[in-house]
Amino acid sequence: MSEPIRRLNAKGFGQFQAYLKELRDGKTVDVPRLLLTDVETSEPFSPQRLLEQGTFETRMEAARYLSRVFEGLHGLEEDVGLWSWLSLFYFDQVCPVGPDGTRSPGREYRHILEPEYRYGHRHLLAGPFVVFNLHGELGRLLLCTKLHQENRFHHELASRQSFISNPAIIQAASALYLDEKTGRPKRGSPDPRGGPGTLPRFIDVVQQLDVNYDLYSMRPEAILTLLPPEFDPWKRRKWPLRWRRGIKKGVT
Amino acid sequence: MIRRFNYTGRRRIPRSNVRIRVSEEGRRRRFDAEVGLDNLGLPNGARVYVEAYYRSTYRRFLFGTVRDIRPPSERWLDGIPIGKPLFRVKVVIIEEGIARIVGAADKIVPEDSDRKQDERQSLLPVEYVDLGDRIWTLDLDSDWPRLLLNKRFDGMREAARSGPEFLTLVYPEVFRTILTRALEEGRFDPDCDDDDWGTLWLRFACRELGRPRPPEESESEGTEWVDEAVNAFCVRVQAASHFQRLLGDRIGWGETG
Repeated sequence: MSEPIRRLNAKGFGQFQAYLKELRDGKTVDVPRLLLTDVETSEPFSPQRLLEQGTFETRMEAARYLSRVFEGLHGLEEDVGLWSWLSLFYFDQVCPVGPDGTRSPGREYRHILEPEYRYGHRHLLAGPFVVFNLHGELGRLLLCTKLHQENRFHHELASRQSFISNPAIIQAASALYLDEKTGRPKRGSPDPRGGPGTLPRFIDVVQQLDVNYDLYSMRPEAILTLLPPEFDPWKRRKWPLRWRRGIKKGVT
Repeated sequence: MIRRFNYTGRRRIPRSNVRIRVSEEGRRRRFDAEVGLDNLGLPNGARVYVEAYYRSTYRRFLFGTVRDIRPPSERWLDGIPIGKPLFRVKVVIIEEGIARIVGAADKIVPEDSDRKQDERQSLLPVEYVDLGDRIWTLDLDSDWPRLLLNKRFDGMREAARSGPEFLTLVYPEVFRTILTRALEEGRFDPDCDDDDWGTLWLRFACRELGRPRPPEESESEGTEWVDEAVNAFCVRVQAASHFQRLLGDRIGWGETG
């Protein structure tokens, strides 16, 4: 059944925040779904759009669906009322009940959008939506986890303007680290200790390249040719066939 | 602070060679850019790009070549959610798919479209956003410090521009916070990097306010240096006498009210 989308107002934020705090304090409280429709705590979203209470396997699925729902609309990325309402609407998925019967909401910015701050991209619905709008299906590496789980690739790449706004860099990262068969990152690739050729090293090296090369003008396979040999093992693992052909022909 | 190495012979384009203005047309914003590349020794055929960016949003415009700079007719900043994004200019040579930057100027703060540019203005871009019940805050997490003011208040723009409340109570704290962050992030050299916000704020403190270079070794000396810089700022803007007048006005207003 479809429901018209609304936006939380200031009173709605306050009560949503209070609810999140109760959860963080270890209390078991019902989701305050009334906030979604109460005219005291929310207002209609304009132009009217309808939403289904579907189940999403991944953040990618959710982002794809929301992108379709909001097709033709712009400037939604910073709409705090909208994204907070959506978070509450999908609360069972962005903050599921754990095996012990409690919910772990984590930081507030995961549910209530903080667009002016560095955590804007970490909202569990707005973050994937932005990535999907920028990269479409090529954002898989960043959005392959459950809705309530932000993976290291999203965490590290989406927070860096020069990375997330450049499709060639996202595609180069995907070529290195995405296992095409499973649709998930290759084992060990996000290694937070920064082993050779892993994600932290990719970030360091690309930041250095970005000073001297105009990576926006380059294709992903050309960026990969600039990487030092420590990345070779990752390139060799399941390198996409279409790109192997491109490199052999010198196509960039 | 991350050190980055320039190993492709990239030339720095002086910031004074680039002027950007953002203007509003209806509900949309566009920009004008003047880019001077004469006498910098850049290859005539190299492409010139002007980029606007903020967080994950980014717009890129081809401005022709070094020999023949041609601003595109469409220079809209659609999709960038703030009034004044930062800009960068890149001069690029592309050979066999590899695009080398041979000249660049980064983190250019656009001038106000309705005011004469001065250096202090460009140091602190201002954005008007919904801050709930807060009056102001500083955004130190983007590429450049920004003063965020609550757009809910009528007259906020004028108050921030010339109001004694801001001059005496807000700006000294803004100055302190930014200098403190600059030192925390290991920025100590006011002559280091023209594209770096920390450098330019330190330069303002040293050159405009006559402060010595900040100490690098001791945290407490750093804190002391910031205190003295803030004090020099207050002296420069005559904060004490403005505040005295503010109090006087308030007392007078209370007596008559």
